[in-house]
Parts: sequence; structure tokens; C-alpha cells
Amino acid sequence: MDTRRRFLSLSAGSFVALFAGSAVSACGTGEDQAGNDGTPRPGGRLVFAEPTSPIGWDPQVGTEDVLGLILRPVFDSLVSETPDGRYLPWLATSWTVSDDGLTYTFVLREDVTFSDGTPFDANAVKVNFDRVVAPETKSRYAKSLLGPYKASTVLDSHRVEVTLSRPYSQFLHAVSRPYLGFHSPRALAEHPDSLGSGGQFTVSTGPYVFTSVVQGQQAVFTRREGYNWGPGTARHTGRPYLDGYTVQFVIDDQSRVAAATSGQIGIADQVPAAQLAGLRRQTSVTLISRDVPGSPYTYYLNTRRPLFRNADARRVILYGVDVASITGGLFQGQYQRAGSILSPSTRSYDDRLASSWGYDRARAERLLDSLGYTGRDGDGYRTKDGARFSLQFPFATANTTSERRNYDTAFQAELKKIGVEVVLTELDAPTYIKRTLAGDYDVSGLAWGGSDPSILGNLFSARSLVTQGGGNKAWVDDPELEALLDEASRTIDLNKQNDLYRRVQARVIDQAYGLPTYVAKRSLAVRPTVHGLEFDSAGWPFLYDVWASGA
Amino acid sequence: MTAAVLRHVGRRLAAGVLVLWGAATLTFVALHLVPGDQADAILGPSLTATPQLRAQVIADYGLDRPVVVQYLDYLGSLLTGDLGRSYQRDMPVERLLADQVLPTMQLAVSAALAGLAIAVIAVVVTAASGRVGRTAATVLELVVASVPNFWLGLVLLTLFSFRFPIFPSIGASGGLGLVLPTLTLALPLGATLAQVMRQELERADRAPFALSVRARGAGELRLVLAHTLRHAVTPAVTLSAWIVGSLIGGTVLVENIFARPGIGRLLVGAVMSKDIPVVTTVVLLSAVTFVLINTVVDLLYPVIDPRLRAERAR
Repeated sequence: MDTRRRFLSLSAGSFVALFAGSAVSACGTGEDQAGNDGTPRPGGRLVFAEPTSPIGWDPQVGTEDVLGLILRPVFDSLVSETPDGRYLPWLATSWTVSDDGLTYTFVLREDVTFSDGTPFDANAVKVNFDRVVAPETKSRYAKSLLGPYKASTVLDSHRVEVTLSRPYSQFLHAVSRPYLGFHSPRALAEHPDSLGSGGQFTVSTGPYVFTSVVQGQQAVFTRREGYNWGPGTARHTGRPYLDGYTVQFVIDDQSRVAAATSGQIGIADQVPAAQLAGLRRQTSVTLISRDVPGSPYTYYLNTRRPLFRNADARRVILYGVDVASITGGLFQGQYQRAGSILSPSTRSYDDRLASSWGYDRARAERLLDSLGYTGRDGDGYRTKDGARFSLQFPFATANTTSERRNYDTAFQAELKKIGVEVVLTELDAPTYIKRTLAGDYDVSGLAWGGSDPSILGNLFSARSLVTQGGGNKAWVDDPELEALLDEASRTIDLNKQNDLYRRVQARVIDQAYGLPTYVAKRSLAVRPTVHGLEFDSAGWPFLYDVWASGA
Repeated sequence: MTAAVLRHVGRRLAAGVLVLWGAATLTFVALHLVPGDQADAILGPSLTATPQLRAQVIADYGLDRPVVVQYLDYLGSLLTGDLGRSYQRDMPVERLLADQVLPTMQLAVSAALAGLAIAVIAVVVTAASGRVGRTAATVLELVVASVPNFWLGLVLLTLFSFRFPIFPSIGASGGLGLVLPTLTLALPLGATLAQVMRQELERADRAPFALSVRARGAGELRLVLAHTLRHAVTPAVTLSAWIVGSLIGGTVLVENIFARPGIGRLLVGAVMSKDIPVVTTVVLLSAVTFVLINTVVDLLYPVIDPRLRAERAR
């Protein structure tokens, strides 16, 4: 495993949960999982706190990261993905891909049942995939994961064939996500309108069963009796160790973290950067941080605007903002500057790219001169024929965190130094969407999660404009980039694919389609009684292998 | 109960139905006046909506019908007791609210009672003490009444849950989990009520009847408990609508800090996403509460203040 994985297992030595009635664990923080942690033991419950609650509980419909994280142990997938992008068996024991990349044939395990007793078979795969793409399901994310899905054919009771309308190399990645997990066909037939309600209405094949939910407060999960079909990426087989887990939703950062430090819960997720340094000095919890895979928070520059049609005008932004010092200052040295449009924990990340560009104020000023912005107005802004170099930057209150808000303000101040005006406008969500869909902005901020580099297609392909439900906020229409993305989408060989996506990253920086800012971390505060915790390829705690001591 | 009282209650309830209709209508109108498209609000700000998805949402929720038709349809289903399906959370509103109403009611009732108790105790204790004690109490009340709820909640949490783990901090159900949220709401409420009540108490204390009670040889404590406190409670009862309002507002913050379930938290999310069925249901619930409380308060006045009994009998 790579160094990231090793680092994680080091920290995981001290991962802990709170168990009913347990006082303090005597287990130390071991350097070696097997050595000091002892033998995993069954029993105990884990309580962990998340800042936000999913708005609905149907993974085939919703989009949220937290939805996938919470339901990952409830919904199994056809295949499991390792952090370096390989695929291992799960509900499918084997699979083949046709030479043209259009047909995937999965051979399914024969001993799998849903928690209502319904057997898991080829038909269950078909009805679920067909449901995901049906318009009335109103799937927000799972449908886009299935991409060019055409149809599923039941070959026999445990063999299913999926056909695509064009080659789509990220298909295995797609079916490894919980968003393409399976509802029991009986649940689909009996209460199709209640699948978003969660609790007892959610019936799937995973090691945990969704027991109950109080919307916005907590969700409770219990171990599934007889579970014996864990993913190939797991370190053990058979029953999950914990008897169950509870997720509590605590918006307030301080309450959430203090609940962990005072021993009331096992894990507090999403520790804000400002609290990281203080928590490192605490002995009551261990801090585990990992880079969030995907595309970091990036200022996309709208290439359809007259000003930004010129690549040199976009380069003014790329070189005129000192992202390293903003990041260092705002996050007290806890986060790093982003060197590429992918974060370092994402497969295909180009680690040589970071040194090829960076803050260069003199270069930004020379570019401004060459663009003709040589005048200065009373407020110190650069002008050309009396017109300011001025950028519209609208944002929505609903999807802007305070971290990003602070970053935006620093970005604005930084550009003012070189005479570029940024007009930040706070909008309500519907107005913001309207302006975004109309392309009525120069700068727009966006971060995009996902462990597969194919998210680059969503961010830069002309087929993924925001008007099409995509993430191409820079309105990029670049034939060279499109050709690279197309080829990557057809390429199944991982090395070739990685190489193509590295060239995409280089092209994005060269053309200055956006300014990547900082690499956010997912930091968890963990009590010293949770063991065996690692992160899966999505960067989520992998609960199937977690066990508890000190009970 | 006399026929007069029954007639009075009947009138109040009839007015209550009007209030409910008004509340439902105002909510509908307000949410439609907010700029932005209903379909966009349902889809949320994440921008991952394809044009086909948008079309499906519009068709499913009937958003392409004229607003008047949508309004009548919505009133009609309300009349049949159908609260609808949450736009945002894709489940029936009843199911969404089922686990939220009781915790909010528990919190509101316990905070109202605790607030009243705090106020009465503060007033009675200070009435017997001298001028200095009263002044000190007034200053303290002013400070507590001015403290923002969320700050008070965090201070209580830090002290009594994190530093000294007496009470559970988050998400707790049951009596022990109710203590800190209740205090968070009750302390400022009690302080405000105490100020109002003390003012009234002092006025009663200067009234001729107080002099005559003293002349009969009653002690100060007996004077307060048996005679003047009654006067002081009247303005507190009049303030009940304000109390309910402040509790509903306060629960939003308190529910967030203590991660309690509740309609306050739900309402904020629903308003942000223009989730009309949810907002309407919460507004209707609040309206029903106000109507009921006002009716009860009206009936309580004569019990507390015998002079009103005489008036109504005439």
C-alpha cells in the first residue's frame, strides 16, 4: 500500500469508540495494528457525530457525501475499490469487460440475501439499475454515475450483463459506490414511496441494518445476523465486529468536538481547521486527518466572458493570488496549498504540477500591462479605456461554508493589491442558481468530491456544462482537453488512464481555467477505544473492520 | 361553566379557524413571493440537476399549473387532513414531523414552567429583602435577560457537561438531557418575567389594600404570597403569547446547540429550501398553539383576578 495508507494505519492504532458503560480503555496507541491493539473482539456500539444530516435516505437518489458515508455499511456494492484504483470482488465474484468496453458481465455470489430474506440475484441488480435511470426516480447522483447505461440483461439467476452506449472506463468505480447499492426488490415493490424515509424502510444486503431514524437528530444501525459477504478490500471476513453504530447530527462544531473530548461519543467527524492545533495537545482523543479526495476548492474563471476569453487574463488570477500564504494564514498551517485541480489523495494526481506554477506578482502585473490595463482609478484599480479590471463573483449562502467565505474575502483582498476588483455578491440559492445557469459571473467557487479522476470530465468537458447538470463552471470548450478526456473514458488500462488524466491537469493549469486553492482535510477526533479504523477509497471511515476495546 | 363562557370559547374557536386559514394562506403567498423558481428550490443549490430531472420535478409537483390552482389544491388537501409530502426530504410530512413535535413541546413546556418558577421565586425572595437586594436582583435579571440563548447554551454545556460531566451534552433524550436546554431557554425568560412581575408587585405593594393587610398584622411574606403576587402574575399571563413566541424562536438555536430533535431546526431548513408543505404544517401547528393558549389565558384571567369575574358576570 502507498504511504498514505501506511500513515492511516499508524493513526488508526488509537481509533476508538464510546461504548455503553465503558469507562476508559487501557489500550495504548500502538504503532502496529496487530501488535499493540490485540485481537479484534466483537461487541460494543460506536457513536459518531456528523455536522450535517442527509436530506433523504435513498442513496440511489441523493447526492451528499455524508449520505454515502453513513449508509456505506448498509449497502454493499458489486465490486470494492482499493485506494489505488484496483477492483476486488464483493457481491460479484468475478466480471468481464468486452473488448469494445460496452458490455460488463458480472457473476454474483449465490449466498447473499437482503435483510428481509429476499435472495440477492441477477434480477435484483437489474431492477435496481433500471430504477436508478428511470426519470420518476429523480436520481441526482447515482444516475450520473451509471453514465451511458443502456440496459441490464439477466443471463441466469446469478449472472447479469450490463450494456453501455459508449465506452466508460469508470463504470467499475461507479458500481463500487454505495449510491449504486441495492434495495431489496420486495422493498421496491411494497413501499417505493418510502425509500427516502430511512429507518425500517431501508432494506439492503450490508453488514448493518438501518434500525431507526429521528430526522435531523440521529440514525441507528444494528449488526446483520449471518452476514458473511464482506468486500475483498476488508481485512476480515464474517460478522462485523461492532453490535451497531449510531450517527448523531451536531451542527455546532464546538459541541460536536467537545462531545468526543469529554467521552460522550466515540468519533467526531469534520473537526474544523481552527480546532486542530488545540486538539493535538489533548490526550482524550486522537486526531486523524486525511486529504479529501476529489477536486479542491477552486475559483473557476468563466471563459465565456469577454474578459476571460483571453488566457492571459485568466493567468493574471493564476499568478496574482498568493494561495500558499492565504492557506497558511487562514488554516493556521493545517491545510496545504493545492498544486493541481485534483487533490493529492486522488488517483492520477500529478505531483510535479505544483512546482510548475505559483504566486508571481511581477508576472501578474506584466500580464495586466500587456492586456492594456495600464491606467489606475481613484480606488487604485487597474483600468483600460476607463474600464476597471472587475470580476463578478456571486455565491449562495446555503452552500458556502465559513471557511470558504473567509477564503473568498482573502482572494478579493489579494487581487486588490494588483489592482483587480472582485465584487462578491451574496445570494439566496434560487437566485444564485439562476445566475449560474445564465453564465452571469466571472468567478465561481466550487469543490468536487470523488475518488476517481473521471470527475475531471464532469468539471471540464463541454458536455458537462452547468446547464446540463454538470460541473463545468468555467464553460470550458477546449478540443484538446475534450480529446484527452474522451480517450481516458475509453481507456481501461490504469497506467495509461492515469497518464491521460495527468495531461488533463497540466492543460487546465496551463490554460488557467481555474485557480485551485487549498487541500481540505477530513479530520476526525477519535476516542482511544476504537480500533482497526481505516479509510476506504472514498476517504470514509470503513466501519466493517472497526472494533472496540474496553467494554 | 356557564353558557356565557361556552359562547365565548365558541367565538374564540371560530376565530381560530379563520386564523389558521390566514396562516396557511400567508405562508403560501410568502413562499411564492420569495424570488426564485420553486423547482430550483426543490432541487437545491448543488447544481447537479439535468434539464430532464428539472422537468420531472415540475411535473411531479404540478408546478406548471397556475398558482391559483396550486393554492386551491393545497387548501383542499389541507381540509382533508393531508399535509402533503416534503419537497426537500421526499417523505410524508407526518412522518417527518412525527419524532419532532413531542421533543419541542417537552422543551417548550418545561422551559415555560421553569421560567415562571424562576421568576416567582426571584420576586418572592427579593420582595422580602431590602432595597439593596432588590436592586442587585434587578441588575442580575437585566444581565441574564440580555444574554443571547446560544451563548448561554454553550456556557452551560461547557460547564456542566464537558468540564463537570453531570449532564449529557448532545442528542440525549429523557429527563437528564432536558435539563440544560430547559435552563438555556428558561433563564432569560425567567429574568424578563421577574422584572415585569416585580414592577407589578411593587405597585400592588403601595396599594391601599396592602396597607390594610399589613394593618391586620400579616407578615411581609404572607402579604406577597396571599395577596400581591396574584397581581404580579396577571401581566405574566398577558405576556404568554410573547413567551410562546420567544420559546419557538429560542428552540431553533437550542435544538442546534444540543442536537435535539425538534420542529425549530426542521423549520429553518424548510424555509431555506421553500419546502411549502413542511413550512405550512409548522406554521399551522404554531397557529393552533397560539389560538389554544390565548383561549386558555382568557379563561384564566377571571380565575387569577376576581375583579374580572365580577365584570363578566354583569
